[in-house]
Amino acid sequence: MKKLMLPLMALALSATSTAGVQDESAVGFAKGRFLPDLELPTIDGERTVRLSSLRGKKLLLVQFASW
Amino acid sequence: MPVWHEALKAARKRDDFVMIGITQEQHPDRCRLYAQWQGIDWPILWDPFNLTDSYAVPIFLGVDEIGFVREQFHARKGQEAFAAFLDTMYPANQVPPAGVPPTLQAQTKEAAQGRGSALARMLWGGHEVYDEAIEAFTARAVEGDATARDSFELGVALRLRYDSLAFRPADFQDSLASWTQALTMQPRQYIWRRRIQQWGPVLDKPYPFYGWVAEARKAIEDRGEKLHPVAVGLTSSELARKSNEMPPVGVRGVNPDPEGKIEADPGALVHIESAAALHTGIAGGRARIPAGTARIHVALRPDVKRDVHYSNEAGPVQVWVEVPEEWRIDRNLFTVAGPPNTESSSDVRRFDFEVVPPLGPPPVGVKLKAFALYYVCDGEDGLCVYRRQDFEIPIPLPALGGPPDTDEGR
Repeated sequence: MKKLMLPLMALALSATSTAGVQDESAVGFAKGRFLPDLELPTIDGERTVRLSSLRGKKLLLVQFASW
Repeated sequence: MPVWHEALKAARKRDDFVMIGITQEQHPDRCRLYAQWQGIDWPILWDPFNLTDSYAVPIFLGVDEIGFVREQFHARKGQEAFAAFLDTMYPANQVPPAGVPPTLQAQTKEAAQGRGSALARMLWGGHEVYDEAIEAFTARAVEGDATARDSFELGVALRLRYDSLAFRPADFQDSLASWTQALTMQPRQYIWRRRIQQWGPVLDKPYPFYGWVAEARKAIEDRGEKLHPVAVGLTSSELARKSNEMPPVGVRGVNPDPEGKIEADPGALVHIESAAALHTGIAGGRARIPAGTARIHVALRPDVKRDVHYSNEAGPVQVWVEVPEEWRIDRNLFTVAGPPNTESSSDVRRFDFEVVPPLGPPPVGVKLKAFALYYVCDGEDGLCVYRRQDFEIPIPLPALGGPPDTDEGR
Protein backbone atom coordinates (compact mmCIF):
# COMPACT_ATOMS: atom_id res chain seq x y z
CA MET A 1 0.00 0.00 0.00
CA LYS A 2 2.86 2.33 0.89
CA LYS A 3 4.44 1.58 -2.48
CA LEU A 4 1.22 2.63 -4.24
CA MET A 5 0.72 5.77 -2.14
CA LEU A 6 4.08 7.33 -3.01
CA PRO A 7 3.47 7.56 -6.78
CA LEU A 8 -0.08 8.81 -6.14
CA MET A 9 1.22 11.54 -3.82
CA ALA A 10 3.82 12.53 -6.42
CA LEU A 11 1.11 12.70 -9.06
CA ALA A 12 -1.08 14.83 -6.81
CA LEU A 13 1.80 17.19 -6.06
CA SER A 14 2.58 17.45 -9.75
CA ALA A 15 -1.06 18.31 -10.55
CA THR A 16 -1.13 20.95 -7.82
CA SER A 17 2.03 22.47 -9.14
CA THR A 18 0.67 22.59 -12.71
CA ALA A 19 -2.47 24.39 -11.58
CA GLY A 20 -0.64 26.84 -9.37
CA VAL A 21 2.33 27.79 -11.52
CA GLN A 22 0.49 28.20 -14.84
CA ASP A 23 1.86 26.56 -17.91
CA GLU A 24 4.02 28.98 -19.82
CA SER A 25 3.75 26.88 -22.97
CA ALA A 26 0.00 27.57 -22.99
CA VAL A 27 0.69 31.27 -23.56
CA GLY A 28 0.97 32.75 -27.00
CA PHE A 29 -0.68 34.44 -29.93
CA ALA A 30 -2.04 31.19 -31.36
CA LYS A 31 -5.16 29.07 -31.23
CA GLY A 32 -5.38 27.03 -28.03
CA ARG A 33 -3.31 29.39 -25.94
CA PHE A 34 -3.88 32.22 -23.53
CA LEU A 35 -2.89 35.64 -24.81
CA PRO A 36 0.22 36.89 -23.03
CA ASP A 37 -0.50 39.91 -20.90
CA LEU A 38 1.28 42.30 -23.19
CA GLU A 39 1.17 46.06 -22.77
CA LEU A 40 1.86 48.26 -25.79
CA PRO A 41 1.42 51.88 -26.81
CA THR A 42 -1.09 52.86 -29.48
CA ILE A 43 0.31 54.08 -32.79
CA ASP A 44 -0.48 57.69 -31.93
CA GLY A 45 1.43 57.33 -28.65
CA GLU A 46 -1.48 58.73 -26.71
CA ARG A 47 -2.62 55.56 -24.96
CA THR A 48 -1.26 52.34 -23.58
CA VAL A 49 -3.31 49.16 -23.73
CA ARG A 50 -2.74 46.05 -21.66
CA LEU A 51 -4.30 43.02 -23.29
CA SER A 52 -5.67 41.69 -20.00
CA SER A 53 -7.78 44.86 -19.78
CA LEU A 54 -9.77 43.60 -22.77
CA ARG A 55 -11.02 40.49 -20.97
CA GLY A 56 -14.75 40.22 -20.36
CA LYS A 57 -15.72 40.54 -24.03
CA LYS A 58 -15.00 38.56 -27.14
CA LEU A 59 -11.96 40.00 -28.89
CA LEU A 60 -10.82 40.04 -32.49
CA LEU A 61 -7.08 40.67 -32.47
CA VAL A 62 -5.56 41.55 -35.84
CA GLN A 63 -1.83 41.49 -36.37
CA PHE A 64 -0.85 43.28 -39.53
CA ALA A 65 1.39 45.87 -41.14
CA SER A 66 0.48 48.64 -43.53
CA TRP A 67 2.87 47.15 -46.07
CA MET B 1 -7.96 44.19 -44.48
CA PRO B 2 -10.63 46.28 -46.23
CA VAL B 3 -12.85 43.16 -46.58
CA TRP B 4 -12.65 42.57 -42.84
CA HIS B 5 -13.18 46.21 -42.11
CA GLU B 6 -16.59 46.02 -43.80
CA ALA B 7 -17.51 42.70 -42.20
CA LEU B 8 -16.71 44.09 -38.79
CA LYS B 9 -19.07 47.01 -38.90
CA ALA B 10 -22.01 44.91 -37.66
CA ALA B 11 -19.95 43.09 -35.05
CA ARG B 12 -18.72 46.32 -33.57
CA LYS B 13 -22.26 47.32 -32.65
CA ARG B 14 -22.41 44.42 -30.20
CA ASP B 15 -21.85 45.10 -26.52
CA ASP B 16 -20.02 41.82 -26.02
CA PHE B 17 -17.33 42.44 -28.62
CA VAL B 18 -14.17 44.48 -28.94
CA MET B 19 -11.36 44.53 -31.46
CA ILE B 20 -7.81 45.70 -31.55
CA GLY B 21 -4.95 45.73 -34.02
CA ILE B 22 -1.23 45.24 -33.49
CA THR B 23 1.12 46.51 -36.14
CA GLN B 24 4.52 44.94 -36.73
CA GLU B 25 6.14 48.02 -38.20
CA GLN B 26 9.22 49.94 -37.15
CA HIS B 27 7.48 53.30 -37.62
CA PRO B 28 4.06 53.75 -35.95
CA ASP B 29 3.24 57.00 -37.71
CA ARG B 30 3.11 55.30 -41.09
CA CYS B 31 0.55 52.84 -39.84
CA ARG B 32 -1.37 55.78 -38.37
CA LEU B 33 -1.54 57.35 -41.82
CA TYR B 34 -2.71 54.02 -43.24
CA ALA B 35 -5.45 53.80 -40.59
CA GLN B 36 -6.56 57.33 -41.40
CA TRP B 37 -6.71 56.47 -45.09
CA GLN B 38 -8.68 53.27 -44.50
CA GLY B 39 -10.98 54.86 -41.90
CA ILE B 40 -9.88 52.39 -39.24
CA ASP B 41 -11.14 53.64 -35.90
CA TRP B 42 -10.34 50.69 -33.65
CA PRO B 43 -7.21 50.98 -31.52
CA ILE B 44 -3.95 49.84 -33.10
CA LEU B 45 -1.01 48.95 -30.89
CA TRP B 46 2.60 49.37 -31.93
CA ASP B 47 4.84 46.31 -31.62
CA PRO B 48 8.15 47.13 -33.32
CA PHE B 49 9.96 44.49 -31.23
CA ASN B 50 7.66 41.73 -32.48
CA LEU B 51 6.75 40.82 -28.90
CA THR B 52 3.84 38.81 -30.25
CA ASP B 53 6.50 36.57 -31.80
CA SER B 54 4.45 36.27 -34.99
CA TYR B 55 6.34 35.07 -38.05
CA ALA B 56 4.14 36.65 -40.69
CA VAL B 57 1.10 38.90 -41.05
CA PRO B 58 -1.85 39.31 -41.26
CA ILE B 59 -3.15 37.13 -38.44
CA PHE B 60 -6.74 37.25 -37.21
CA LEU B 61 -7.34 35.73 -33.78
CA GLY B 62 -10.68 35.17 -32.05
CA VAL B 63 -10.17 35.44 -28.30
CA ASP B 64 -12.85 34.54 -25.76
CA GLU B 65 -13.90 36.46 -22.66
CA ILE B 66 -11.13 35.08 -20.45
CA GLY B 67 -8.32 35.72 -22.90
CA PHE B 68 -8.12 32.26 -24.46
CA VAL B 69 -7.50 32.12 -28.21
CA ARG B 70 -10.35 30.07 -29.67
CA GLU B 71 -9.89 30.64 -33.39
CA GLN B 72 -7.42 31.77 -36.00
CA PHE B 73 -9.37 33.05 -38.99
CA HIS B 74 -8.38 32.84 -42.61
CA ALA B 75 -7.18 36.27 -43.70
CA ARG B 76 -9.44 36.47 -46.76
CA LYS B 77 -12.20 33.94 -46.17
CA GLY B 78 -12.59 33.91 -42.40
CA GLN B 79 -15.64 36.12 -42.04
CA GLU B 80 -18.12 33.23 -41.70
CA ALA B 81 -16.05 31.53 -39.06
CA PHE B 82 -15.80 34.86 -37.32
CA ALA B 83 -19.60 35.20 -37.21
CA ALA B 84 -19.83 31.72 -35.69
CA PHE B 85 -17.19 32.63 -33.11
CA LEU B 86 -19.22 35.62 -32.01
CA ASP B 87 -22.33 33.47 -31.43
CA THR B 88 -20.58 30.59 -29.67
CA MET B 89 -20.83 30.11 -25.92
CA TYR B 90 -17.60 28.39 -24.96
CA PRO B 91 -18.03 25.77 -22.20
CA ALA B 92 -15.94 26.13 -19.10
CA ASN B 93 -14.47 22.66 -19.52
CA GLN B 94 -12.51 23.86 -22.53
CA VAL B 95 -10.56 26.17 -20.28
CA PRO B 96 -6.96 24.94 -19.79
CA PRO B 97 -5.98 23.51 -16.40
CA ALA B 98 -4.70 26.71 -14.88
CA GLY B 99 -8.22 28.10 -15.14
CA VAL B 100 -7.12 31.67 -14.71
CA PRO B 101 -5.59 33.68 -17.56
CA PRO B 102 -1.89 33.73 -16.83
CA THR B 103 0.29 36.75 -16.58
CA LEU B 104 3.46 34.92 -17.50
CA GLN B 105 5.52 36.56 -20.24
CA ALA B 106 3.94 39.85 -19.31
CA GLN B 107 5.67 42.82 -20.87
CA THR B 108 4.44 45.97 -19.29
CA LYS B 109 5.25 49.64 -19.14
CA GLU B 110 6.17 49.28 -15.48
CA ALA B 111 8.79 46.53 -16.04
CA ALA B 112 11.73 47.48 -13.87
CA GLN B 113 14.42 44.95 -14.62
CA GLY B 114 16.45 43.39 -17.41
CA ARG B 115 15.01 43.01 -20.89
CA GLY B 116 11.54 44.12 -19.79
CA SER B 117 12.90 47.39 -18.51
CA ALA B 118 14.91 47.98 -21.70
CA LEU B 119 11.82 47.33 -23.83
CA ALA B 120 9.72 49.65 -21.72
CA ARG B 121 12.32 52.40 -22.05
CA MET B 122 12.34 52.10 -25.81
CA LEU B 123 8.55 52.01 -26.11
CA TRP B 124 7.69 54.73 -23.60
CA GLY B 125 10.83 56.39 -22.31
CA GLY B 126 11.71 58.75 -25.15
CA HIS B 127 15.11 59.30 -26.74
CA GLU B 128 16.65 60.50 -23.49
CA VAL B 129 16.75 56.93 -22.17
CA TYR B 130 17.59 55.12 -25.40
CA ASP B 131 21.31 54.88 -24.61
CA GLU B 132 20.71 53.04 -21.34
CA ALA B 133 18.28 50.65 -22.96
CA ILE B 134 20.58 49.95 -25.88
CA GLU B 135 23.39 49.20 -23.46
CA ALA B 136 21.18 46.50 -21.95
CA PHE B 137 20.17 45.12 -25.37
CA THR B 138 23.80 45.07 -26.49
CA ALA B 139 24.89 43.21 -23.36
CA ARG B 140 22.29 40.53 -24.04
CA ALA B 141 23.14 40.22 -27.73
CA VAL B 142 26.85 39.59 -27.16
CA GLU B 143 26.45 36.95 -24.48
CA GLY B 144 27.44 33.40 -25.35
CA ASP B 145 23.86 32.19 -25.11
CA ALA B 146 22.41 35.15 -27.01
CA THR B 147 19.33 34.26 -29.03
CA ALA B 148 18.13 35.37 -32.43
CA ARG B 149 15.52 37.48 -30.63
CA ASP B 150 18.23 39.30 -28.68
CA SER B 151 19.83 40.36 -31.96
CA PHE B 152 16.52 41.36 -33.52
CA GLU B 153 15.54 43.49 -30.52
CA LEU B 154 18.94 45.19 -30.47
CA GLY B 155 18.42 46.04 -34.15
CA VAL B 156 15.01 47.56 -33.47
CA ALA B 157 16.37 49.63 -30.62
CA LEU B 158 19.29 50.90 -32.71
CA ARG B 159 17.02 51.91 -35.57
CA LEU B 160 14.69 53.69 -33.14
CA ARG B 161 17.65 55.64 -31.84
CA TYR B 162 18.81 56.39 -35.38
CA ASP B 163 15.45 58.02 -36.10
CA SER B 164 15.57 60.07 -32.90
CA LEU B 165 17.41 63.09 -31.55
CA ALA B 166 19.79 60.68 -29.79
CA PHE B 167 20.97 59.18 -33.09
CA ARG B 168 24.50 57.96 -33.66
CA PRO B 169 25.87 57.73 -37.19
CA ALA B 170 26.51 53.99 -36.98
CA ASP B 171 23.04 53.11 -35.66
CA PHE B 172 21.46 52.33 -39.03
CA GLN B 173 24.28 50.06 -40.15
CA ASP B 174 24.41 48.38 -36.76
CA SER B 175 20.67 47.77 -36.76
CA LEU B 176 20.86 46.12 -40.19
CA ALA B 177 23.77 43.97 -39.01
CA SER B 178 21.81 42.90 -35.91
CA TRP B 179 18.73 42.03 -37.96
CA THR B 180 20.82 40.05 -40.43
CA GLN B 181 22.40 38.17 -37.55
CA ALA B 182 18.95 37.40 -36.12
CA LEU B 183 17.63 36.25 -39.49
CA THR B 184 20.63 34.02 -40.02
CA MET B 185 19.58 32.18 -36.85
CA GLN B 186 15.86 32.15 -37.74
CA PRO B 187 15.55 32.45 -41.53
CA ARG B 188 11.83 31.68 -41.52
CA GLN B 189 11.02 34.71 -39.40
CA TYR B 190 9.37 36.83 -42.09
CA ILE B 191 8.58 39.78 -39.85
CA TRP B 192 12.29 40.12 -39.18
CA ARG B 193 13.16 39.52 -42.84
CA ARG B 194 10.82 42.32 -43.90
CA ARG B 195 12.56 44.72 -41.55
CA ILE B 196 15.75 44.34 -43.62
CA GLN B 197 13.99 44.18 -46.98
CA GLN B 198 12.32 47.50 -46.25
CA TRP B 199 15.71 49.08 -46.90
CA GLY B 200 17.14 46.29 -49.02
CA PRO B 201 17.73 45.84 -52.75
CA VAL B 202 14.86 45.59 -55.26
CA LEU B 203 16.01 42.08 -56.14
CA ASP B 204 14.91 41.13 -52.63
CA LYS B 205 11.74 43.18 -52.21
CA PRO B 206 8.44 41.32 -51.95
CA TYR B 207 6.50 44.52 -52.80
CA PRO B 208 6.85 48.31 -52.48
CA PHE B 209 6.59 48.67 -48.72
CA TYR B 210 5.11 52.14 -48.61
CA GLY B 211 3.98 52.50 -52.22
CA TRP B 212 0.48 53.20 -50.93
CA VAL B 213 1.45 56.46 -49.19
CA ALA B 214 1.00 58.82 -52.15
CA GLU B 215 -2.46 57.43 -52.94
CA ALA B 216 -3.41 57.58 -49.27
CA ARG B 217 -2.32 61.19 -48.90
CA LYS B 218 -4.28 62.25 -51.95
CA ALA B 219 -7.42 60.40 -50.83
CA ILE B 220 -7.23 61.92 -47.35
CA GLU B 221 -6.70 65.41 -48.70
CA ASP B 222 -9.57 64.93 -51.16
CA ARG B 223 -11.76 64.15 -48.14
CA GLY B 224 -10.71 67.48 -46.69
CA GLU B 225 -8.95 65.95 -43.69
CA LYS B 226 -5.66 67.02 -42.20
CA LEU B 227 -2.96 64.44 -42.90
CA HIS B 228 -1.38 62.58 -40.03
CA PRO B 229 2.32 63.40 -40.36
CA VAL B 230 5.00 60.87 -41.24
CA ALA B 231 7.83 61.70 -38.86
CA VAL B 232 10.64 59.78 -40.52
CA GLY B 233 10.90 60.55 -44.20
CA LEU B 234 10.36 57.71 -46.65
CA THR B 235 13.42 56.64 -48.56
CA SER B 236 13.23 55.67 -52.21
CA SER B 237 14.02 52.14 -51.07
CA GLU B 238 10.78 52.00 -49.14
CA LEU B 239 8.82 53.02 -52.23
CA ALA B 240 10.73 50.88 -54.73
CA ARG B 241 9.07 47.98 -56.50
CA LYS B 242 10.38 44.46 -56.64
CA SER B 243 12.49 43.92 -59.74
CA ASN B 244 14.63 41.18 -61.17
CA GLU B 245 16.57 43.63 -63.26
CA MET B 246 20.23 43.94 -62.33
CA PRO B 247 21.99 47.29 -62.30
CA PRO B 248 24.32 47.73 -65.29
CA VAL B 249 28.02 46.98 -65.39
CA GLY B 250 30.34 49.88 -66.19
CA VAL B 251 30.59 53.54 -65.33
CA ARG B 252 27.48 55.68 -65.69
CA GLY B 253 27.92 59.40 -65.39
CA VAL B 254 30.86 61.80 -65.64
CA ASN B 255 33.24 62.11 -62.70
CA PRO B 256 32.88 65.75 -61.57
CA ASP B 257 36.40 65.94 -60.08
CA PRO B 258 38.56 63.17 -61.59
CA GLU B 259 41.86 64.73 -60.56
CA GLY B 260 40.85 65.74 -57.06
CA LYS B 261 41.37 69.46 -57.64
CA ILE B 262 38.58 70.69 -55.40
CA GLU B 263 39.76 71.61 -51.92
CA ALA B 264 39.14 68.92 -49.35
CA ASP B 265 36.86 69.13 -46.34
CA PRO B 266 38.20 66.56 -43.92
CA GLY B 267 34.76 66.07 -42.43
CA ALA B 268 34.49 69.18 -40.29
CA LEU B 269 31.66 70.81 -42.20
CA VAL B 270 29.57 67.85 -43.29
CA HIS B 271 29.37 64.44 -41.64
CA ILE B 272 28.77 61.50 -43.94
CA GLU B 273 27.46 58.10 -42.93
CA SER B 274 26.43 55.04 -44.89
CA ALA B 275 24.60 51.77 -44.29
CA ALA B 276 24.39 48.69 -46.48
CA ALA B 277 21.18 46.65 -46.40
CA LEU B 278 22.23 43.26 -47.71
CA HIS B 279 20.04 40.93 -49.75
CA THR B 280 18.46 38.68 -47.11
CA GLY B 281 19.42 35.63 -49.12
CA ILE B 282 22.69 35.87 -47.26
CA ALA B 283 20.87 34.86 -44.08
CA GLY B 284 19.36 31.76 -45.62
CA GLY B 285 16.66 31.33 -48.21
CA ARG B 286 16.08 30.17 -51.71
CA ALA B 287 17.60 33.11 -53.51
CA ARG B 288 20.94 32.51 -55.12
CA ILE B 289 22.46 35.91 -55.49
CA PRO B 290 26.02 37.19 -55.20
CA ALA B 291 26.96 37.74 -51.57
CA GLY B 292 27.30 41.46 -51.01
CA THR B 293 24.29 42.46 -53.13
CA ALA B 294 22.99 45.45 -51.23
CA ARG B 295 21.12 48.70 -51.20
CA ILE B 296 23.40 51.43 -49.89
CA HIS B 297 22.01 54.34 -47.91
CA VAL B 298 24.07 57.51 -47.61
CA ALA B 299 23.32 60.53 -45.43
CA LEU B 300 25.18 63.87 -45.40
CA ARG B 301 24.63 65.97 -42.29
CA PRO B 302 25.89 69.56 -42.03
CA ASP B 303 27.57 70.19 -38.69
CA VAL B 304 24.84 71.73 -36.60
CA LYS B 305 27.20 72.81 -33.81
CA ARG B 306 28.97 75.11 -36.27
CA ASP B 307 25.64 76.10 -37.84
CA VAL B 308 26.81 74.82 -41.22
CA HIS B 309 24.20 75.05 -43.96
CA TYR B 310 24.07 74.24 -47.64
CA SER B 311 24.07 77.10 -50.09
CA ASN B 312 21.23 75.83 -52.25
CA GLU B 313 21.48 78.69 -54.72
CA ALA B 314 25.02 77.59 -55.60
CA GLY B 315 24.01 74.05 -56.50
CA PRO B 316 23.08 70.62 -55.22
CA VAL B 317 25.28 68.09 -53.48
CA GLN B 318 26.98 65.68 -55.85
CA VAL B 319 28.33 62.28 -54.88
CA TRP B 320 30.54 60.08 -57.02
CA VAL B 321 30.74 56.38 -56.14
CA GLU B 322 33.18 53.87 -57.59
CA VAL B 323 32.83 50.11 -57.43
CA PRO B 324 35.39 47.36 -58.07
CA GLU B 325 35.68 46.00 -61.58
CA GLU B 326 32.76 43.81 -62.70
CA TRP B 327 30.50 45.11 -59.95
CA ARG B 328 27.14 46.49 -60.94
CA ILE B 329 25.81 49.83 -59.70
CA ASP B 330 22.71 51.87 -60.57
CA ARG B 331 24.91 54.78 -61.59
CA ASN B 332 28.05 56.44 -60.31
CA LEU B 333 27.00 60.07 -60.01
CA PHE B 334 24.23 61.12 -57.64
CA THR B 335 22.78 64.59 -57.31
CA VAL B 336 20.96 65.45 -54.10
CA ALA B 337 19.13 68.77 -54.01
CA GLY B 338 17.81 70.61 -50.98
CA PRO B 339 14.28 71.75 -50.28
CA PRO B 340 12.79 73.58 -53.30
CA ASN B 341 12.78 77.39 -53.35
CA THR B 342 15.25 77.80 -50.50
CA GLU B 343 18.45 79.84 -50.56
CA SER B 344 20.03 77.73 -47.84
CA SER B 345 19.18 74.86 -45.56
CA SER B 346 20.78 72.54 -43.04
CA ASP B 347 18.73 69.49 -43.96
CA VAL B 348 20.11 65.97 -43.97
CA ARG B 349 20.70 64.95 -47.59
CA ARG B 350 19.97 61.29 -48.26
CA PHE B 351 20.10 59.02 -51.24
CA ASP B 352 20.31 55.31 -51.84
CA PHE B 353 21.46 53.03 -54.62
CA GLU B 354 22.19 49.39 -55.31
CA VAL B 355 25.30 47.36 -55.95
CA VAL B 356 25.68 43.77 -57.11
CA PRO B 357 29.10 42.10 -56.98
CA PRO B 358 30.00 39.40 -59.49
CA LEU B 359 29.27 35.79 -58.59
CA GLY B 360 32.14 34.24 -56.72
CA PRO B 361 33.69 34.33 -53.28
CA PRO B 362 32.04 36.78 -50.85
CA PRO B 363 33.69 40.21 -51.15
CA VAL B 364 34.84 40.31 -47.54
CA GLY B 365 36.27 43.64 -46.43
CA VAL B 366 35.27 45.56 -49.57
CA LYS B 367 34.85 49.31 -49.17
CA LEU B 368 33.49 51.38 -52.02
CA LYS B 369 35.37 54.60 -52.68
CA ALA B 370 33.31 57.76 -52.95
CA PHE B 371 33.51 61.52 -52.68
CA ALA B 372 30.96 64.26 -52.15
CA LEU B 373 31.02 67.83 -53.49
CA TYR B 374 29.01 70.52 -51.74
CA TYR B 375 28.58 74.23 -51.35
CA VAL B 376 28.28 75.08 -47.68
CA CYS B 377 28.43 78.14 -45.45
CA ASP B 378 30.05 77.95 -42.04
CA GLY B 379 27.92 79.67 -39.40
CA GLU B 380 30.99 80.30 -37.20
CA ASP B 381 33.05 82.37 -39.60
CA GLY B 382 30.38 83.17 -42.19
CA LEU B 383 32.47 81.77 -45.04
CA CYS B 384 30.81 79.94 -47.93
CA VAL B 385 32.98 77.35 -49.63
CA TYR B 386 32.88 74.59 -52.24
CA ARG B 387 34.44 71.45 -50.82
CA ARG B 388 35.17 67.83 -51.59
CA GLN B 389 35.04 65.05 -49.03
CA ASP B 390 36.36 61.59 -49.79
CA PHE B 391 34.81 58.73 -47.88
CA GLU B 392 34.48 54.98 -47.95
CA ILE B 393 31.34 52.84 -47.93
CA PRO B 394 31.94 49.51 -46.20
CA ILE B 395 29.81 46.52 -47.15
CA PRO B 396 29.91 44.46 -43.97
CA LEU B 397 29.23 40.80 -44.63
CA PRO B 398 28.11 38.62 -41.73
CA ALA B 399 29.44 35.15 -41.10
CA LEU B 400 27.64 33.11 -43.72
CA GLY B 401 25.33 30.39 -42.56
CA GLY B 402 21.78 29.53 -41.70
CA PRO B 403 19.71 26.59 -42.86
CA PRO B 404 18.00 26.62 -46.26
CA ASP B 405 14.53 28.09 -46.16
CA THR B 406 11.64 27.09 -48.37
CA ASP B 407 8.72 29.04 -46.94
CA GLU B 408 7.18 31.99 -48.71
CA GLY B 409 5.60 34.15 -46.03
CA ARG B 410 3.92 37.44 -46.63
